[in-house]
Amino acid sequence: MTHRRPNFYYHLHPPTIPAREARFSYTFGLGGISLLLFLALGITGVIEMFVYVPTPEGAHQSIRQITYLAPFGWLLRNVHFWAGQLMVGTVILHMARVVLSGGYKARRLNWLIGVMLLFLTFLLDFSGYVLRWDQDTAWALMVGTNLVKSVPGVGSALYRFVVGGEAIGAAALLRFYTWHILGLALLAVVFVVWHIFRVRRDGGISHIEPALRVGREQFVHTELIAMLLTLGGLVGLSLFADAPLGPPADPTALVAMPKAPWFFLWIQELLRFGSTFVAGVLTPLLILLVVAILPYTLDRSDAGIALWFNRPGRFLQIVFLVIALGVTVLTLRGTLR
Amino acid sequence: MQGKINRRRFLTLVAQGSLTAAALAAVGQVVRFLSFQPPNSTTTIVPVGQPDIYPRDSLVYVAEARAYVGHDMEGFYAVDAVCPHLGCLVERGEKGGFICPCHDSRFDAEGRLLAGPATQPLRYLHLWLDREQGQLFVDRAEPVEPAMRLLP
Repeated sequence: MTHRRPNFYYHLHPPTIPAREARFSYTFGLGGISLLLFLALGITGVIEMFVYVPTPEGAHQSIRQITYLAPFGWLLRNVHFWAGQLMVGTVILHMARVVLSGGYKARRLNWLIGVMLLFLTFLLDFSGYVLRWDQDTAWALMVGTNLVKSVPGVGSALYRFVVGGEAIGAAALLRFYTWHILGLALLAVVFVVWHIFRVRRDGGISHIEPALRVGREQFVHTELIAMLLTLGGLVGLSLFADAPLGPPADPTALVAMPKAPWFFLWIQELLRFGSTFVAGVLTPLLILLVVAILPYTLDRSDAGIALWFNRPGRFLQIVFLVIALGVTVLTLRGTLR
Repeated sequence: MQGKINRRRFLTLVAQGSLTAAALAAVGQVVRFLSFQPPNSTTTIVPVGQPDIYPRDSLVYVAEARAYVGHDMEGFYAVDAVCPHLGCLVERGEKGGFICPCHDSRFDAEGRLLAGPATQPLRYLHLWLDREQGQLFVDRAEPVEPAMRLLP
């Protein structure tokens, strides 16, 4: 084989990679797929910005323009929508893979960065949902912002900070728009870069030492195939399933079944049981905090790294799965309602 | 020199301290900037039409006011449709009560709380007749006692 100069893409990887852990059947490519979806969201999002108008009068109309009039606008919007929905899933699955295969061991800082990215993914998806400004999102925004108000002490100050006024209106939409396209997106970019930088700094994908290492060429090859398949799946889904768009938001209209976006259905279910602040704000934040400190409390050993269902991490794995099961059951309950 | 501060160390501390203070002050001002509220011009007083569109024993949802306007034996009244829990609009339930579709809070026909997660009853709103215009008005910012009625 003739020697070729590695291009920029190769340089994103270390020259050699642990052979066993580089296999698709170990990582399922979930981190890479999430990154690809994130990039697709950035590109399609910037294109949408050229048409989208972040005002109560203009939002819905400009989305209709994107969806029904502009050439391939429907595909653009569908890809942005589906990439956003899928990313919630792939990020959570990536997290589950890291938990169950002990991937957090010997690199716990990167676990924290990852939890932060999960949080940002939720915020990005929710703020994007609000921008649709149709009847569904109007109620989600109403409930979400009133939850902020329920925080003891600083609630109303926090509400003004989020909404930009005493009630939801043009100022709120502009704020969610700015957070979505710039504030949160920029933060996410910083954390994504840091996350990936840490992976490389920590010696590539977590692995058993001493590892048989292979050149990055094979790995890049696999990555490109996974990337193409993901893109194919994303576009395929977008060709056949349309992103929803209800009637324009009207805060005075009675709605039969106001539902939270699917990734927050579990919080809506919690709210049926508990007091507003505890069920709607404290519990979700506590769950996130518990997940964040899992590798610092329940499994502080580095033994069992890169081993699926390793024994030292057993307790942590069980706690994680119990939390995941609880959230899933509540989500299903909300879906079937 | 153990435990003592030399000039270099002192100046470094002063520089770091003032930079930190400046950064914190800037962040604080950004928070203040984003919490600023422009003077509010939106009115809370909403016209809800002439009295004769509300016949005796009726209860009608008036979207502009986000309230139910009713007419019973004693007179006219207005019940806020905004759920005191998290702000969804309550619907009519069986037996004349109200149900919030978001989180299942239940209220009876007088707006009293029957079942949670809400912790407050529905508000009754000030309703009056403007004789010059012959129109009823509701003030969303002025709750009243549930027993209050506007005599027909």
